[in-house]
Parts: sequence; structure tokens; C-alpha cells
Amino acid sequence: MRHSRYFLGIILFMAFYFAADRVGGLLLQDLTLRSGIRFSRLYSGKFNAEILVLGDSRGVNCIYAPLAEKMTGRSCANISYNGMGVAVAEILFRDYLAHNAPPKLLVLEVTNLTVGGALVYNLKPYQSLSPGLSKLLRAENRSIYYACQLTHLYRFNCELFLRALYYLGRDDQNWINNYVIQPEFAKSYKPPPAVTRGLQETIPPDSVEAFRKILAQAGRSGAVVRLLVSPFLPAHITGLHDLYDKRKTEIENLAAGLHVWDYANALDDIRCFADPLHMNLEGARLVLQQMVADGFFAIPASEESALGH
Amino acid sequence: MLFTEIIFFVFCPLFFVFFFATRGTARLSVCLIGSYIFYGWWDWRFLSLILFTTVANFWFGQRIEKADSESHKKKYLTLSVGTGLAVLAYFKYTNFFLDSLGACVRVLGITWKFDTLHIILPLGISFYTLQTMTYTIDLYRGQVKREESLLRFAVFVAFFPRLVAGPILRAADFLPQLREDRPFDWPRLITGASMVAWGYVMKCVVADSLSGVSDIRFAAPVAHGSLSLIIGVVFYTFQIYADFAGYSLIAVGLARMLGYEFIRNFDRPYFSASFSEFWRRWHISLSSWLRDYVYIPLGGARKGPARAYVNLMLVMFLCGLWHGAAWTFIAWGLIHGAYLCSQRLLGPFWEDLAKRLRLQRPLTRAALIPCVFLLTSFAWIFFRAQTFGAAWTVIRVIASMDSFTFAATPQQFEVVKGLLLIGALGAIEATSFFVDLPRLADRHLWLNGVFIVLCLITLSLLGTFTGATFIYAQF
Repeated sequence: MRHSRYFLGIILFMAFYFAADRVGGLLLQDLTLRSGIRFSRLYSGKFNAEILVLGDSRGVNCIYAPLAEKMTGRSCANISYNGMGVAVAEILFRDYLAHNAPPKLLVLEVTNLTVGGALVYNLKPYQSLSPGLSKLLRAENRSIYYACQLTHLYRFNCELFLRALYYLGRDDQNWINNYVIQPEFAKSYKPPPAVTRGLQETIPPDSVEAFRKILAQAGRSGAVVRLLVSPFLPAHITGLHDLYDKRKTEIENLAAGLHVWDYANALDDIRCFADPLHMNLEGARLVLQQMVADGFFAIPASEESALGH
Repeated sequence: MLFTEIIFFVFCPLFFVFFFATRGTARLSVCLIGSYIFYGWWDWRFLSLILFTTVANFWFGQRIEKADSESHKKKYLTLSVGTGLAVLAYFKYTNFFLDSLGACVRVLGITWKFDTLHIILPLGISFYTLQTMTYTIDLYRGQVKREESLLRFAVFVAFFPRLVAGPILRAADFLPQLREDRPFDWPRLITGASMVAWGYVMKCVVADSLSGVSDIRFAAPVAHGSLSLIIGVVFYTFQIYADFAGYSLIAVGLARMLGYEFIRNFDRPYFSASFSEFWRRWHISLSSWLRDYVYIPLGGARKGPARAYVNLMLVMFLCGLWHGAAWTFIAWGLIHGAYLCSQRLLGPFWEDLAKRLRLQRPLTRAALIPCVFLLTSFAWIFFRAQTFGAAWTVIRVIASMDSFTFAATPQQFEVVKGLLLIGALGAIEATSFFVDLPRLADRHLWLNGVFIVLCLITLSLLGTFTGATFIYAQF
């Protein structure tokens, strides 16, 4: 009798936990979709931009959407995110096209071609909205995938959800590094061996496939594709020029002749950088000016008329 | 096996079933086999070291009790302590001693090259070595009876909840508990489970969330500004607390679920108003071990003020060395030694001043707690930094007050999350000064159920499950 009372108590508390988990999961899902963060806007179909930017953190800190809109006169959406590999980018682009009107210009920051699919863990809040993300999460890490099925609250256990809360009721397109690299660090900086190793390795086959899929989808939707390498801190690129050039040629071959717009060496003032791999707002402003002047955002008239925005 | 590994969640329920299904010698056997599986999962080869430590100290215990003269007793005690220290010295300090010796002879202009020996540090060696010492020392002092069963003694040495990172138990406290069969008890099981749940929250939610911020800053301090590094140091201060206190709570909670009582290892240390109070609240099982087995035998404060200062510095030197085989750990210990000596020196003046100014006790405490916290955080820089150079860089950048803006701080979302977690932890601990939470939990068992559910929700939403090891498991 005494034991059964305790067992009943355990069952009741377990039921309480699961009910709280499911109700909490629903509430947080709703909250996430109300956020102005890029992925909530993507899945709510609130973008419809003429210029779409895809990349990892270097994409985030290169094309500053508010400034790009001002300089080009075209609406711009940057859906890059820290650690976004090309496999995740391909799914997000596919989902973008499913929920929003296709862009006229797709900018791919291509230094993420060797980045893996780990960002998918951070995109857990959206996995119920995207079969592609769900499938990739399962392939990347089964434990996390099943944990997300077991507890719905766990889907919101990520940095991206905190960011979504921060952007409740406001747009996240003004997100960019707003600080300057420590001068002492910039002076003494040498690229870590992992960077050299990464550049010596070939692009993984699944990334090649995802990259080709993005290009094919862009072609089907009528978007013009621009391949971009954004600036590095000069100390980072010094000594790695040959490897970066080799990688550029490799990418151009994969993209069937598409030209890579190489701005790797475009800036030499350390005040334009937040760290060796990322610019800050000042750097983004300067490089955007240069890109506009170079005709990076120009869309051929034939393509322009084919798409109505 | 660590408490954060998935395999532990398979091991633990099985262990509980076998434990409560058996009695007497069979139960002790279950405890021993379970503990050896737990330990061997990490590296089975080092079970031989635990076995050696167990058998040697059991034998020394017999010799000490059967010795017919004081000098014989002392001889066996010296052999027992010496064996423990020799094992510890070999596995933990060989390379450190050789490195230091090499540096010394290089100063003299002698070129001496040697290769670093590839010695694996056995998990938990610092903890079980000290624990077995309590048995032979207390036996020598007549404070504990000789253990007649090798099986029971082996369980005392290897009992899995405390094997990897303590608490360091005393033979007089734990061996008598092993002599009787603890019956299955729902209230103990439930209150123990809520301690375990809170331990996991401290480890997986607080400590591991903070580590993501502090690790990056200590890895490349020169890449960060002043505010960013202050955040890194403060986060590490709470990380190490939540990590170790979390481990200890899981250990104490598991033991309680099985019917045993372990010493409380942490008691809200960052609410200390003095360094002596800090050491009464921080890693209590180690600080009390050092007090009872090193400081007091050295004479404590009984042999005059000068000797008391020397004893304090010596004890804190050993405390630093116990933590890790590096000069940065020793520096950390010596900094705390200097704090304790300064407190001893300036304490009477401060008390006199407070009396003259008629400062109320709560007011003086409120003023002293942040001071002790800041100085403790400063000392952690040496504990965390890999080298003196790295520690110095952290201090230099912080002192420069350069880039003292939140905008120049990387990982802003993780920082805000960490600050909220620290705030929540502080609020809960502060509340526990006014409300006797353990008593409340004992009286109203259903509250434990609610608490466990809240812990599970917190873990689901905020837990970090990267399989990160416990900081103290590396010592």
C-alpha cells in the first residue's frame, strides 16, 4: 500500500513533466515564430527580398543588409549565420524558396564550403517546420534528434532561441560585429595550423553536392548567383595566398565557370576587422562601397524582367 | 565512467536494483563490483592501483593495531602514508618534478635534457589516496577501529559515488555505515534524488554554460578586451564552483538514495566574509582534511604567531600542489595562504575599527563579502591559466581597462545567459540563508517531486550535454 502511494506519486509527477514539456514546447514555438530573427521571418514568409545572402559568420559580417539596401536601392535579406555549412545553407535556401518569393540575386559567401553541418543543432527550434532540417539533424546526431522528440523543450535549448527572444518585435538584419580587433592581437596573429590544414583538404563530396543543388535551385528560380570571398585580416591571408587561390579555382570549376568575386585582400586597415576572419561595421561599409562600384550587385536586364517583385 | 555519460544512466538503475535486492556480504560485493565497473569503464588497468592501495592500507592497518610498541606503530603508519604519497608522486608529479629540476639546473648553466614521461594520471587518485590515509592515521590515533573485513574496506576505498572527485570521506564516518544494511527508504530515495537533480542542474546548466564563455577567453586572452576578460574570470569563478559543487551534490545524493550519509562538501562559499570562512565553506572535505591531518599536527597556531603564518603558508602550498602538478596551482595555493595570513594579521585591527565605528555585523559582512569574492576570483586566474605568462596577460589586459564596453564583448547571448544563471544561482543560495530548504524538503516530500520536475525542465531547456568532464575529476 505504502509503495503504491509512492509509485502513483512518481507517475503523477512524470505526467506533470510531460504535460509541461508539450505545452511549453508549443508556447515557445509560437514565441520563436513571432521573433524578427532571420529564420523566423524565413519560415513565416516575411522576406521576399531581391538580394539574398547565404554564408557563415563571414557572410553575416560582410553584407550588412540595411547598408546594402541603401547603396543598391534593392531589398536585401541576409540569412547567413555563424557556422553555417553549405549543407544547411542548401536546406535553408530550399525552404526560403518554399515560403518566400525567389530573390533576383543570390550571394553565396563561399568560404563555408568546408564547414560541417553542426549549425543544424542550433536550428532545432525550426526542425518541426522543415523536413530538410529534421532529416539533417537525424543524420548529424541521432541522440540529439531523439532527444528533441522525447522532450520538446529541448528543441529550444540553443543560442539561436535566445537570439530569437532578443529579436522579439524587432528586425535582426542590423546584426553585425560592432567592435575592433585588439591591436596587440592583430599584430601578433598567425593563422592557426587548422586553417592551413583545412585549405589543403579537398571540399567534402556532400558539400559539393549541396553547393551544386543550391546553384541548380537558383537557376530554376531565375536568380542570378554571385560567388563571394569576403575580406580577411591581412595577417590571416599572408602566406596562404596560394592555398586560397587554389580553393578559388576549385570552386569556380564546381560552379561551371561562375566567377568568384575575390575581396579577400580588399581591406588592409585593422580597424575594419573584429577578428582575423570577420569584419566589423566599418569594414562592411567600405567593402560594400567597393562591391557596388565593381558592379557586384548589378543584375542583367534580361534577368531583371524575368522576375517580378 | 562519469555522471554525465549516457552509460551512467544505464549503470545506475541496474546498480540500485542489485543493491536493494541483496543484503550483508552480497550487498557489499555488489557495491565493490559496481564500483570497479564504474572505475574500470574509464581504464580497467588502473583498477590494479586501487587494489594495491586497498590491500596495502588494509595490511598496514592490521600491522598498526597489532604492533606491540609505539615505535612499531609509527613505523607502519609512516610506511602507509609514504606508500600513498609515493604512488601519488609517481603518477601525478613525476613530470612536474623533472621539469622543475631541469629548469633549476638550466639556471646554473648546465644543459640537461630529458623526455617527458608518458604517465597517465589515474582518475580520482588524489581523492582515494587521501581517503585511505584517514584510515591508517585515525587508526594510529585510536580514533577508529580496525576494519576486519577486506571487502568492506575495499568498498570504503572504491565506493563509486565519491570515487572520482570526492567528497573525501573519513574512515570513522563511512566505515561504520558500511557495517549495517541500510533498508530501502522512500523519503531518503526522494530527497536524495532531488539532490542529484540539483547537482545535474549545477553541472550541466550552470557550469557547462559558463565554461563556453570562460574557456574561449582563457584560451586566447590577448584577443579580448578588459571587460570581456573580467567576464571570463567571473564566469570561471562560478563555473568551477557549480562544476565541483554539482559533482559533490550528485555524489551525496546518490549515497543518500542508497542509505548512506556523506559530508556536505560545499556550503555557499561565495557568501563568505573572510578567507577562513571561505575555506570552511569550500571543498569542506579537503579543507578539513588539511586542517586535521596537516595544519594541527604541524602545531597550528599553538606555537606562536610566526609559526602559525608558516603553517598556513605550508598548508596552502600543499593545497595548491594537491590540485595539480604545476606552479600555477602552487601560486593559487600561496595566494590563498597570503590571504589567510593577511586576515590573521589585519583581522584584529578591522574588528577594532568596526567596534569604534559601531558598524553592525550584517553591514560589515555585506561590505566584506564582495571583497572576499573579488580576491578569490583573482586567485582563480592562476588556477585556470595554463602558464604564468597567460595569467599575467589576463591581469595586464584587465588592468589596462581597454575596450571596456559590452559591444566589444564576443558571445553576448551566452554572456547574458550566464549572467542570468549566476543571478539565479545566487538568489537561490541567498534564499537558503533565510529558509531551511533541506528541512523543508524532508518535511514535505511532494515538494521534492515538484523540485525534480523543475530541474528536469531546466535541464531540457538550458542544459549543455557535451559530455564535458568534471574539472576536479582531472585532479
